Amino acid sequence: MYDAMAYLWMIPVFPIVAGFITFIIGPKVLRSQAHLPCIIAGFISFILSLMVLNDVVKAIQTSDKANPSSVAVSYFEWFRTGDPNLVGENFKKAGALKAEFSLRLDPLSSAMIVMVTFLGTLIAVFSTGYMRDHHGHIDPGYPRFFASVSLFLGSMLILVLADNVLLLYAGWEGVGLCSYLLIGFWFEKPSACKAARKAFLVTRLGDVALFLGFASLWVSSGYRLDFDGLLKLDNYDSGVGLACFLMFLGACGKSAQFPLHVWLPDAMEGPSPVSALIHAATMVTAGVYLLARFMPLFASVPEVQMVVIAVGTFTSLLAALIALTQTDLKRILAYSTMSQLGYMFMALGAGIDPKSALPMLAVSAAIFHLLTHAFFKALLFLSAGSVMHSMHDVIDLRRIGGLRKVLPLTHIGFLCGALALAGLPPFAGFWSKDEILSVIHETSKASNYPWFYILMWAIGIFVAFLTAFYTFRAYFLTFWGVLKLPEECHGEVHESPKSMTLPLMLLSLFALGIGFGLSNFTPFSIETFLGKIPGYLIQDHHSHDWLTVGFATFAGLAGLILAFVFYGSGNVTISEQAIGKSNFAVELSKNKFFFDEIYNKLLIAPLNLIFYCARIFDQYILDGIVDLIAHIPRIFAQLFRPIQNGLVQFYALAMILAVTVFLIALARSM
Amino acid sequence: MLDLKIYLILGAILFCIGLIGFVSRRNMITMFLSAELMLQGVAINFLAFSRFRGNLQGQSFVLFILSVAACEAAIALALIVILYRAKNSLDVSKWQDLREEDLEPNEDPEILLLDTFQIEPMPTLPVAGHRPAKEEDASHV
Amino acid sequence: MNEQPWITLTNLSLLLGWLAVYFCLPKRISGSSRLVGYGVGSVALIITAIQIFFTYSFNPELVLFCLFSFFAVVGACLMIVAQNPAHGAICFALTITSTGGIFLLLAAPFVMAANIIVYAGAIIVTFLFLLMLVKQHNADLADSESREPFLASFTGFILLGCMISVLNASFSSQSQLGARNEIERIVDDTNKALSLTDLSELKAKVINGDNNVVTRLKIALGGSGTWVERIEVDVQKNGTLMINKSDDIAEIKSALASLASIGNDYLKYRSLLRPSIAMPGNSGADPSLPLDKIRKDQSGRPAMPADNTTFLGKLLFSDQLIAVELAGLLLLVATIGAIVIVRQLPTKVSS
Repeated sequence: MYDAMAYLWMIPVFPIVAGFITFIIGPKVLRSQAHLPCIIAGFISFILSLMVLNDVVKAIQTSDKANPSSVAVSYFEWFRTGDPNLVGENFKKAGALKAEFSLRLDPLSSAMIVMVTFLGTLIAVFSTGYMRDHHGHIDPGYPRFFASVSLFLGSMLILVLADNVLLLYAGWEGVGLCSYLLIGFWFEKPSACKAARKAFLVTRLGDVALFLGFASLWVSSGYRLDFDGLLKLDNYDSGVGLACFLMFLGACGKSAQFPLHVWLPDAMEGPSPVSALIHAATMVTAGVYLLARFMPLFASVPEVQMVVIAVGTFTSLLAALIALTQTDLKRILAYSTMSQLGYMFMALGAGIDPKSALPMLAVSAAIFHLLTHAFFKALLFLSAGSVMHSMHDVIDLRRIGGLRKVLPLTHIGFLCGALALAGLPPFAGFWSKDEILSVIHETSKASNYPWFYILMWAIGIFVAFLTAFYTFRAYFLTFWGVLKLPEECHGEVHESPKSMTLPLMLLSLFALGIGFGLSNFTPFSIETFLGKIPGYLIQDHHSHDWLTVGFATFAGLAGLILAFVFYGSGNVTISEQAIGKSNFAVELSKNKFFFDEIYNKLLIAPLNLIFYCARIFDQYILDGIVDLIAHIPRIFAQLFRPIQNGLVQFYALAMILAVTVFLIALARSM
Repeated sequence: MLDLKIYLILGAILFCIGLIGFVSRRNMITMFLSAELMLQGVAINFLAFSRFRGNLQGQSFVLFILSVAACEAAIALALIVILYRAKNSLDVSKWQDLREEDLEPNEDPEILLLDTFQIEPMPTLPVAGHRPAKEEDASHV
Repeated sequence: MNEQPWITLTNLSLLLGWLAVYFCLPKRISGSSRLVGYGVGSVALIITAIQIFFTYSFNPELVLFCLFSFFAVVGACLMIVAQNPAHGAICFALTITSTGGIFLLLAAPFVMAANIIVYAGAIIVTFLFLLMLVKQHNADLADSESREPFLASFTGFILLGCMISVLNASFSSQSQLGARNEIERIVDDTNKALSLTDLSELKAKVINGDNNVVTRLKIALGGSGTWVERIEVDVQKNGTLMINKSDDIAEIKSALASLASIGNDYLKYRSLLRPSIAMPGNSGADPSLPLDKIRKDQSGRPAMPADNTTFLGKLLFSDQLIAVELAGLLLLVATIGAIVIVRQLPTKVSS
């Protein structure tokens, strides 16, 4: 465990260095090989992560004082404010701040880094195929893409490895920046620019709240920045609730939860691997990671936890309803991501009592779902990307269909992902989703408001049904039925290159196996693994909530069958009816519940009014004053301008007059 | 016995007269002569210092002034010739291009009545190598 | 300076000179103003001559100086007021030859010769040729009108007045030269006395009777003027009481030291026209010598070498060789430049 700390720092540093190298020499030197630094660095980081994971597993198995399962090491002092000679109380009172570049290794972060590096590398490999056209010519921004991806990986790794909130925040902003760069990758498209700006600004709202949350944590914990100090409840007098609420708002921004969810669907403007990497597997899970990291604090404020679970449930329901009627494949996946993130927040919100094992169960359920979701959602996005690549960037469900035969590998990949997402046994989603619902069920027994949690549970089951329905709607519409090709293809379709299908196959295996592999039925149970994070109570017996399992499986199956009946059976009338019918509910869903419009009317319009007033103020009052100041010399200058009459003799005369004046001054002073 | 001061004052007088001429006269040739007059004043200053110090540094300096004045004369005369070619006049006021863009050029009203001044015509050079056939030909170069 | 009255003969002649130049400058409507200008100018010259003859003792040098400077100034004035540039050039030649006389008075025969050759011989003639070349058939507006005659002449004479008053204030005239030498001696004596150790000897040297430095310093400063008064106040404050009344040798010495520094200040600030560093010595006198150690002629001024040209040549081709070479190069460049400038001149011969 301690040995691992010697090379832990390399894990984030490799991708960052690779990113800068690609930025600098990529466009001129590497050109079409610009993916090499990114992939090599990602792969090295992945190997290192596996070694780290191995060490952590060993430490958990031995679990003694000499080999703790959670270690933090400070590599160097990052910055320091205030007088360094002040120590102890004075140091804190002076508001002095000392931030170190310190990394923490524990089961949570080790699980995250393995997932991030693995998916990152895989997606980078996939991108080498995706970012070329059908003749193998690279995209003009090829080096920029891989540099950004590399930097993104580094930032994400810093985020999950950081041992103090400032470093975490640095990583948080780093992924925000890289996300902006990647969403706006095709900046020639106005819609991409707009989406990038929207994502950046909306998440920025959350970031502000997050920073305020960190600040209030810092103050109320007695000026601590490291997690050891922050997670000890004894350190706090009050203010935990406020800090937790603010942090939750920050997590909402990054993880696209209501009300800051509006950026995620638009973020699909970026290349599909970006959607897979950022908006499914890694960045959006940062919020989940944050809440999981601070679970001991959140568990102590059940009021905030109720907000968390309510928001999570609402988001998952909302996203699932919207996804029902969307016709853009990537957009459906984006909404399903939102919905699944809502699931994770539901799980996190279920950890209420710090004295019980519930927080541990909640964290392990959320992280379990995070991991499985990362794999199958990456798979789904990459499959969608593969479809998009083959269909010449057309993924409108109304214009494609019956691709089962022409894209067999992609079809298998998408099917595995869809089954996992729908939560059907034995695919990954089944295990993690059931875990979440079981935790909520558990919580309802422990809480003072059982009906509230029962309601959440019921909605969760309903969302599981909806999830299965919209997933398979997309699946059937894309791969079943009559072969329908957009005219951009000119009738030619071929399967994507190996660099794209190989990652798909690999991910399919994971989507198939990872759920069971990490479940309680195996020795690698995520629950026992995460339970070893210091500070959690461990539940020894594993009770299996068969009721929940049954309901959820049934819901999933029902959704699948319904989707088959509507879209897969080839019965055109039913699907026509389902899609074509226009009533209020369908309109609501199609238009994403008019959130963009509501925000426009309620938030952006008043803001625009303020901006307009400010502009008027600036233009006419401030600029007026400045212009006035500029005009005064101009008026004087107008008086003297006739002196510049072009007669050089006149200039000489003026010069001599000036010399005379100086001479008079000199003579008087003698 | 004369002292240094009176020589310096003489130099200053010549310098200032040259200055007045340079600033007020409009004929380029007269202006140039005025500039040379200023140099004369400076030369007297140098020589007086040299005399009353008892060394020759000032005199050597005046020699350098002379050589610079000779260069200046050569260049200035060439310039005057081409300026004259451009405007067909020695009037320095014809050149006002340095004025502010939107200012009107400073034009002199042409009310000059030659009769009232009765200025003798300038001497002119006959065409070289030819005997002027008529009296008017003498005015052509 | 503040005490000097503004209405002096110098200022009066300056005023008259200004009026004369103003009236004489060509103007559009001149009428008989030129005659008025001649008259006023004559008055100014007469006043100046009277002033000079009253200030300096009569001797041949003075007569020659007045003669040459009269022609120089009159020639200069006539040059700048001449309506015909050819006449102006002739007047300029007059000025050049007159300043040649002044140069001779200043013991610079070689420069005089060079000056007359270059100016009167070369430049003036070239100008006259140029005048004919550009063939102004009749008087140009440029010649019969001046630009800002009033302002220009006013400025010129104000500048002249300033220069004269600055010269009056800062230049060591004969009496000031004496004062300077006396103060140099006093500072010397004081410095010598500072090295003495015996009180009575010291008193005999710098305090008793006529040797009292304070009194000597006051006498040497003499005159009037704010600067002198300021120094006198300092002298009073720093020296008198202590030197007169004290028997403590250390106290006396510190007072003497402050007096010496006052004297040094005076020498530093009142000797603006004196070279402070030694200059190369290929001239008549060794420049490192102090002014009073230089060999003097019978009029009291430093002697100049009889072989002016020889010494000048030695100086130019030894100490100032590089400058001479550069001047030659400059002449060459100017020649080429002049040719280049007029090269495009079309040969316009009309018949």
